[in-house]
Amino acid sequence: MINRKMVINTQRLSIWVVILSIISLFFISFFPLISTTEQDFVKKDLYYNYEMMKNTDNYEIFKITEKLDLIYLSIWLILIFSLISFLGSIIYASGKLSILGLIFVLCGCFVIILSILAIYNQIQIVNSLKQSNILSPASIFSSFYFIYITLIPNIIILILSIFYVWTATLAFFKFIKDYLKSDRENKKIKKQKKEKKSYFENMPDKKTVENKSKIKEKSIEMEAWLKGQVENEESKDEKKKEINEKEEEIEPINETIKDEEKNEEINDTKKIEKKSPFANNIKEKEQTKKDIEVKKEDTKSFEKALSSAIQKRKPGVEEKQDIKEKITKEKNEKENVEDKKINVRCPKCKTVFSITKEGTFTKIKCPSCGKEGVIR
Amino acid sequence: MNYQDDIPEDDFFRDIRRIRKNSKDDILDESFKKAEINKGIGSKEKKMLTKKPFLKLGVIFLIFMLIAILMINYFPWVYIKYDAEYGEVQEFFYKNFENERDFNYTEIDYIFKSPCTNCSNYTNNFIGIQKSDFTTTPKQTLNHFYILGILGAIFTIFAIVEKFKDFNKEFVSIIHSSFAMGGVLISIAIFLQNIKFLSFYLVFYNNFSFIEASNINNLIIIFLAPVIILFICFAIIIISSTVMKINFKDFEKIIKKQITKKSISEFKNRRKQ
Repeated sequence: MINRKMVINTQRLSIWVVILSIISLFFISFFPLISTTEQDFVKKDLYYNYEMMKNTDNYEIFKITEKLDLIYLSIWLILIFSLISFLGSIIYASGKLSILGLIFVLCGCFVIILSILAIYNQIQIVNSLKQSNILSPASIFSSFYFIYITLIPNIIILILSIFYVWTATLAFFKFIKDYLKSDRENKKIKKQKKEKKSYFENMPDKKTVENKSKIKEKSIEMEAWLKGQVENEESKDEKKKEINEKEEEIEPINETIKDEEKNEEINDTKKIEKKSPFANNIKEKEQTKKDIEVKKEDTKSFEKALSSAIQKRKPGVEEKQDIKEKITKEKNEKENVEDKKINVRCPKCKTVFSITKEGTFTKIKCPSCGKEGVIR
Repeated sequence: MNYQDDIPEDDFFRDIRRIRKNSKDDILDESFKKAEINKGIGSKEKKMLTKKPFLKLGVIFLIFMLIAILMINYFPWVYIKYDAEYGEVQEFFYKNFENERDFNYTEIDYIFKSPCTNCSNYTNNFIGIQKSDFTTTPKQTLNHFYILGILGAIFTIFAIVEKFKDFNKEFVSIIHSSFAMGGVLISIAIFLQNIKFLSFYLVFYNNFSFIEASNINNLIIIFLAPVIILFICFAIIIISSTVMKINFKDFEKIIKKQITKKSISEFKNRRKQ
């Protein structure tokens, strides 16, 4: 996450540092910094600027110029680092290469060290000028020394760099915190994504799911249908077998009954002729007859149940039968109506009109002339 | 007392309907106005954000380089006027301290090199500028301007390529500001090289008595090319820094938008919680 306050503060501070470093460089190379009192053909103060100091053969001045060179270099570095930090703040604000931007911003922290170095060297120059007998700080008025003017921007740079370091370090730690947080969140999100991916990879597509569900439904229907058919077939077979068995059972019984009837007839004839001594046998025969009749009734009821079951198994049969009956009824009615409809010719006006015959005697009236009559 | 007792039922319901309709219309009007206002602001913001940076900085660098080259090579570096024993002398000196007549003025040598040989604190000159400075500084400034020109050429090539290949806005603005930073650094270097010609006036004012002692009266020295170069450098510094600041402000707007979006989402989340 971008720290807006930090970005704006660092940008402002780096701009101010750039401006101040340019000013201090300008002051160093523009103002005459030291002066000497010449006592040759002109007895006056000679002012030395930075360029003049470079071309002197005086040892003391040479030493001071060395220190000035150091200050010059350090201010140049301050300028470069502050420009880099400004660029860093731009890069950081872009949010594209935030880490690189933050590194650039942190580069600006070197400004504090360099500004301390510059101030230290300047203080040393001031001290050496105070100690020397020949050299003195250059001034326009009695107390307006140029060397102190060059010190002012450097001191401001130091103060700004302290603020800069404070904001930059705070921002850095915040960034690290946010980065770690975001890293954890990203890891969590990645884990969740992976889990989701794996779940979805294992999950089949919509089409396959639909196909599978369709196949399942069909298989269930098929199983159900097959079970029903098998049951029907099995039940039919069983019932057929049962019927056959029963028929087989019934056939010998029928034969026996027929034989017995014949025998009875013969016996009756014999009874008539002679009273039979085997009355018990007749009773038994009667019982068997009754049993056979019961069995026959049972088979009939069984057949009825079977037919009803078959009707139940095949829905729509009754409906079809009903519809057929209805259709036949309607047909019959139509036929009857058509049969009853008769075209009649009026004997008076000779107009032909159709009428329906109702009953044996139907009264009719001509629609054109109004002549009345009866049809038998 | 019931209000229904006074007002007939139909009138009562009619009033309610009218009030509802009016309130609805008001709400719709307000929302419509708000939507219109939002739409306007949004489009403006979008336009501002989608704008790519001003990619003519390279061309500006090249133009400044050409001007500087012309100034250094064909413009007089210094104008000197003084009263000598034989009369008034006024002359324009170009780079390498060459003049149109190719005449060597001995008095001018004393200006740039001090006549004092037995001074207590010996210095080469009293004004901070030597004759050699007119050969070294033009060379150095030319080299620096060449570097600036190369920088500008690279950036113009980048701008041309950018027209054909649509680069990312952030990337373009980062490169833009980095080139601007390079321009600022080079121009500061040139500025500090030529600042000695400006500081001459301060030293000249303070050390005038030493120059007077070398029998040169009514001396007027005006540096022409260095001052123009200083102005060019100043212009480059200002343009480059403004370009950098504009880029930064664009990003600042983006950050603001991001922060507002984030704050809205956070507020919504809090409300949900």
